[in-house]
Amino acid sequence: MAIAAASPIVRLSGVSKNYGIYKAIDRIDLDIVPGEFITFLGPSGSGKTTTLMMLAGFETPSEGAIEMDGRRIERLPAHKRNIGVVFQNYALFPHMSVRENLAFPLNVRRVPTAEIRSRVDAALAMVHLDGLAERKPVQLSGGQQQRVALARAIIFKPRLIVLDEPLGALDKNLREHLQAELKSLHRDLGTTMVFVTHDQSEALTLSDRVAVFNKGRIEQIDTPEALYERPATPFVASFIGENNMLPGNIETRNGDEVAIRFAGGGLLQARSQASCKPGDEIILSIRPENIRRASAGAGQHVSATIIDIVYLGDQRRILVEADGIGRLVFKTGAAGEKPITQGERIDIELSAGTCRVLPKQ
Amino acid sequence: MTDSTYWWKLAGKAFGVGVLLFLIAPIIAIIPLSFNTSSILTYPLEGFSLKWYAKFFADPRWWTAIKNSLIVGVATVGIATPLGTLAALGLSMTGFRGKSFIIAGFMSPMVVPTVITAVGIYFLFSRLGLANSLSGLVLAHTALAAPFVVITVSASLSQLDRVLLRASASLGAGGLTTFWRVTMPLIMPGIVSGAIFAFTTSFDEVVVAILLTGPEQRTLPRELLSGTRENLDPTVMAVATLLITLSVILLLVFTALQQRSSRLVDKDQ
Ligand SMILES: Nc1ncnc2c1ncn2[C@@H]1O[C@H](COP(=O)(O)OP(=O)(O)O)[C@@H](O)[C@H]1O
Ligand SMILES: [Mg+2]
Repeated sequence: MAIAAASPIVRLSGVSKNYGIYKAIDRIDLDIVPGEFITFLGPSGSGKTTTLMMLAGFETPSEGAIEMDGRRIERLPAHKRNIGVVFQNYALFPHMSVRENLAFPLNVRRVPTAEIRSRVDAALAMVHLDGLAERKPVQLSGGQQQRVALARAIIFKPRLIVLDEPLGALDKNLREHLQAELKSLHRDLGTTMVFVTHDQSEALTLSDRVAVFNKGRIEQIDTPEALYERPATPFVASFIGENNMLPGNIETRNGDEVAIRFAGGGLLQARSQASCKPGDEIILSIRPENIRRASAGAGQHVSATIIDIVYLGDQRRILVEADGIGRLVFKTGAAGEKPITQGERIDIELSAGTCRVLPKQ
Repeated sequence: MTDSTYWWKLAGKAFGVGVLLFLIAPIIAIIPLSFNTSSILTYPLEGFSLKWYAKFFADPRWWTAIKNSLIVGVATVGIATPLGTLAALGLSMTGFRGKSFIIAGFMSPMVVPTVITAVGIYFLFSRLGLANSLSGLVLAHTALAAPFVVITVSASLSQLDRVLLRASASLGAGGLTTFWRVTMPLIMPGIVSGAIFAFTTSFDEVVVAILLTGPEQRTLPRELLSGTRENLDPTVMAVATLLITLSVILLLVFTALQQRSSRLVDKDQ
């Protein structure tokens, strides 16, 4: 996807939202590209919903501008924005049948009756709910209600669809099923979608790009791969996937090769594109899957004592105390490797290329 | 142990039945008297007859009273229901200055003794030329009935999921469309309950009616009261029985509405 080339469908510039003296959103900048599936990921209370509600027109920014197709919309009432919204608790009209719920946005737009009928049927087919048109929302399961909500948000061909934790209330199996459906729906329709979740695996599976929210700010916006492999901040590194985070100081720097000294006296080599100079306090992040038991010869070896071993079925999760460095977690395959026991001394290998230097926050 | 709990439970039930009897015995006692052949209001009954009903239907005085009461009752519903509904909608909006003042103002006719409200209305309406007129009575009853509408509609509004209003806006509906197509249908049970309360408030009302009506505008409660004072005969009991029947019907409608609205609310369980 040529993300940089396309001009944005939505642009947030310097958007803040204050509740009294509390800054729920703190100067967010964000470009949403036509056709992309972008996810807001972050812990509860990080400002995802607030940002979405400002986009949809239910909250007004305290500062900053929101543009849609180049027009300022931050004061435009919600009903004039042409943005489809899927709410967490579905928000279907309980007094209307499924058909009436879907027809609602078309009635409002004065679409002819015959056309409404065929478009409702088509939308129902799209979310695999044919035959349930005359039911009331109470007569549907949670998953079916969420499908109706989705169909209602796409039926009027909105410019943008925003979804606030739409799958949060569903059980795991159904959630995965609907994730797949949502993904294929996005492919078929090509409509831009903004999705909110606090579930990182959901974000990584679904999205073209993920914006990681923390305390009212966006920490990083990137593709799932880039976020996982090249987190820009300690928060992103620890929030997405598992990560070993080791505080230390830059001792020497030579090009992008740096040496890091830890409080315990240990020294590690790492690579860093970030601007850092000797003396800087940093966090070194290493993914558990990038740590191995050392085989003889090559690489950067560290001696460690095994503290704990957790059996996970297909893997073992090993917690070690690396001499002079600190505690690290890594994983080994359950079979085919030398058995290890608690208290044993081993050598582990941390290749410099997989150690990431992050600024201390 | 279990023995004593048993007796306590029985005592509780007996007490409940006692209170219920105390409340409805006077009402039930009236009904057989309206079918009695004797013109004296005592038990035991002498025989079954419908003559008091016949007398009631033949007497134009009663007909006028019924007509007046219905006109006033329906007009009161017609004004108090939209007024109370709009007030409840306004009050349901999140805090604004003077909100509690406005609530207190709206509710005052319920709290202040009716006689005091009635006397106040009487003096004011005499000056405005509204005394001795049905329209004056309608306005007075509206003031008494509107708080009930505010209460029932507010209760419905507090059950209303605000996210539905956002959903409606996101689908392109402006404020008015959202009101007619989403808010109104969902608070309808509250509106209808309020209308029923408004009607019975007006239909039962006697204090204001005594002060504000002349012979032309006599309402049913007023006629009943003078009936019992002047020439107490079982016709009054026949009228009372008919009114009880009407009240029971309205109560049943009200209960059915309550159940319907709770069914719509219990959605995502
Ligand atoms: N109407 C409000 N009044 C005051 N604080 C609010 C309001 N809405 C949200 N907040 C606060 O703003 C922060 C961000 O909330 P929200 O956007 O709902 O987070 P998220 O959706 O990421 O869980 C939270 O700390 C929340 O308490
Ligand atoms: Mg949220």
